[in-house]
Amino acid sequence: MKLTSEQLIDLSVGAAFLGTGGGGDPYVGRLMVQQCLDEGLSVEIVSPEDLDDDMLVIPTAMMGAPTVLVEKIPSGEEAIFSLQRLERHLGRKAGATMPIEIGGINSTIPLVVGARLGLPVVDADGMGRAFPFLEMETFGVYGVPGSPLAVSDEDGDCALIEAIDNRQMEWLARAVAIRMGGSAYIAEYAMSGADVKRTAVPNTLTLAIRIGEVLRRARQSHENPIEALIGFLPNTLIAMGGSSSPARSWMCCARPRPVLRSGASGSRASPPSRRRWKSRSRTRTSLRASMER
Amino acid sequence: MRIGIDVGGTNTDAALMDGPVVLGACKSPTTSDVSSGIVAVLKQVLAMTGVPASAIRAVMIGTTHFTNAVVERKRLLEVAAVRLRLPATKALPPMTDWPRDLADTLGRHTFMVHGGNEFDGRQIAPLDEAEIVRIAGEIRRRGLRAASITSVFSPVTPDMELRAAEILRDIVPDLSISLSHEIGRVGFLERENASVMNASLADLSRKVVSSFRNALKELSIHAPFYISQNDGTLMVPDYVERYPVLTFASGPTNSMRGAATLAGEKDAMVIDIGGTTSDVGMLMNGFPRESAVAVDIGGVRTNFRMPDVLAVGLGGGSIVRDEGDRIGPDSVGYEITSRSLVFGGDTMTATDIVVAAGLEDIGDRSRVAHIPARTIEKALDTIHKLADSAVDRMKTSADPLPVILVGGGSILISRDLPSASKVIRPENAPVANAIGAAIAQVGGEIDRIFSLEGTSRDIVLGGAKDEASERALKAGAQEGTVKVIDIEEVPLAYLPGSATRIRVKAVGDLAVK
Repeated sequence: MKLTSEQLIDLSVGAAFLGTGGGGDPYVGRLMVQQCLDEGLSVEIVSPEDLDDDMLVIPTAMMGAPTVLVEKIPSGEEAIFSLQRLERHLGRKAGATMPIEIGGINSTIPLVVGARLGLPVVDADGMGRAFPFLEMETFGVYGVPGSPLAVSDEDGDCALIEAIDNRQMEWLARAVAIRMGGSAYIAEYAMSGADVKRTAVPNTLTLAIRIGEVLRRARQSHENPIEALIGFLPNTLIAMGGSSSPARSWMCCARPRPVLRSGASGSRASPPSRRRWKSRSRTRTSLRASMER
Repeated sequence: MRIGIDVGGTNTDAALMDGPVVLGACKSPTTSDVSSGIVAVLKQVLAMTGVPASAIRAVMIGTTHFTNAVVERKRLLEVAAVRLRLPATKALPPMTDWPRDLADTLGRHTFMVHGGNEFDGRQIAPLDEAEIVRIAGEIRRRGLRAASITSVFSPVTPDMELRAAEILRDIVPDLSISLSHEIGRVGFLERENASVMNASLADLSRKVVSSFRNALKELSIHAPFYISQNDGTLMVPDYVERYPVLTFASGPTNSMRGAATLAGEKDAMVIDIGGTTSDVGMLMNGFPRESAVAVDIGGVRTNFRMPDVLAVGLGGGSIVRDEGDRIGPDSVGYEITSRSLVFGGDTMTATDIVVAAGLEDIGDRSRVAHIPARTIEKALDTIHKLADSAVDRMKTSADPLPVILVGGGSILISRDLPSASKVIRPENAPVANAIGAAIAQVGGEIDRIFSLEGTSRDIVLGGAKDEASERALKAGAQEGTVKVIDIEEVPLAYLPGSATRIRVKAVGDLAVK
């Protein structure tokens, strides 16, 4: 599927929804892709099912503070530089790139890489949403090593990280990203087409496009966007309500998040609990269900 | 005594105020030279109140003139848009997401230069001064009279913008230069956009400010005058000449603040009910709560301080369906005088319901006599539920707040709202904008990313407060009245604890001699 400008707008809205606020404002990323389309380049989105099992897929992403990104706009070459560095290190060419998360800028960075290098972009990602840390990607959860990782900045600096595990990889890469000015661009979790099929959350780019489309149509016809979404994503409404006293709190390196005033303290974000993973797998099921509609 | 003036696209309104009391208010058509419309409305308001021109101590003007110039693409200068900090930002050159016709009007003179800083102020590369000299030559060759300079993280470190401006000014002495750090906050593209638009308004701002000056002179009003900006505070004329872009969208703010004054409330919810929508905004400490979302002006994205307003589909022309169970969001709009039942049409609108209920006498009452009592009751319920839930959505705490109703559609609300402590309908609501201008204070704001490394939060916050207060004084506030009214701290996500974005706003009473 070749991405159109209209689908791109829908994608950035849908990705912002799936990212639930994570990964920053999708605006800059959308403009970067649009710039590619305006130059006559194209973005080819491929289903994970269509990948050869032995094809090399290298996901690409931005890492760091979205607050920095909206000020220090990328040169557009950073993630390409990281991907090419990783190709040189592995001695193999990538057959496709892929998002690591859906949300903010990271649903669009791989589209820029794909357009500029002529690589297809896999319709899948490693979260189904936007998560704070690299070791939380489904790729890692299902046993794919994230290392080696290449991280680059706009000035042409690049670091290659080979860590003992994915958590350590995240820790080291983040330190480099800070030295690079708070936002940097990575290529990691290089894996086979077979591993993509086994570990990635499938069809999330097209899901984001369809969510954006549902919201756009609801707005155009003055319908309630929430009702339109519930119609499109059945069995996803768990509860409705508002926060009564939102506050921002500093939780280690994680993003500022609303906390309830009932004594939540600023402890380090703990690894996802079993219960959380259960609820995530339910989300995956419902995402699949909605894709089959 | 003060006079507040609102120069809108259609009407120029004036309100003469003695303290918080409105002595008189009137409207007059806006004229193309601005000045004669102001003279007409001023004459009118002075005549109706019998107040001599010499008793006026200050004149406050709110205007949409600069916004309209950008929207209409008229009276704008071509601009040299200079950007610092390559290779970063290369992916999106200046004016990337602008409407094509506006970018064409401004000439697409874009220049990108190496050198710049990071979020913590550290320098990545020195400014390429030779390149700035070359750009100055190019500006001369192309005969440009305005330029904007935007550097990455200039709200943290303005040095490179200042240095680049110095070089340009040396070579092109009469160039009007807009520096982004003086105009906007963190958010590069939005700040650059505002800065480029500001530069394009350099000529017009001098003309408009002098037309204001002339109008007052003509009526022998020798009091100082001020112009209101988007956050509801005032600027002195010299400041507006340099930063006309800061007047963008001052209208909604003035209208909300005017409503608050008329109602005598500082913390309240304002519902402006029109024909199609109700705009709900919250006043905190007498100022509108600001929106965190980007605002488009003439198709260009900016990050100006704008009131956070929720628009819901409830107005006088909202269409009533399902025996009153559903109202809006669609409306007959301006066709209400032909399509609604009371005006002889065939569409049941919210206005028809209030007439049928005997709450208002509009149009031909007999034409709604057939509406069953159950439908009327149900529809009134729905109307109040819609308004109540909009108020509830805008609230930041569960405590009830006073609700101020303005706008022609405010006749729809006849009952108490559960989320409101009381419902107020002020007089003079049609000139709320002019009143909002008249009562405006002066303010100063800073919004930057601070590094807390090697210092303490208290020291940094103290410095930020001082700087905001200093800016308020510079903008014309009276010493001793300046208060910090808003502090916002946002730690930078995904970075360790050293960097925090801090925004401080200080306001004070206008120094009136």
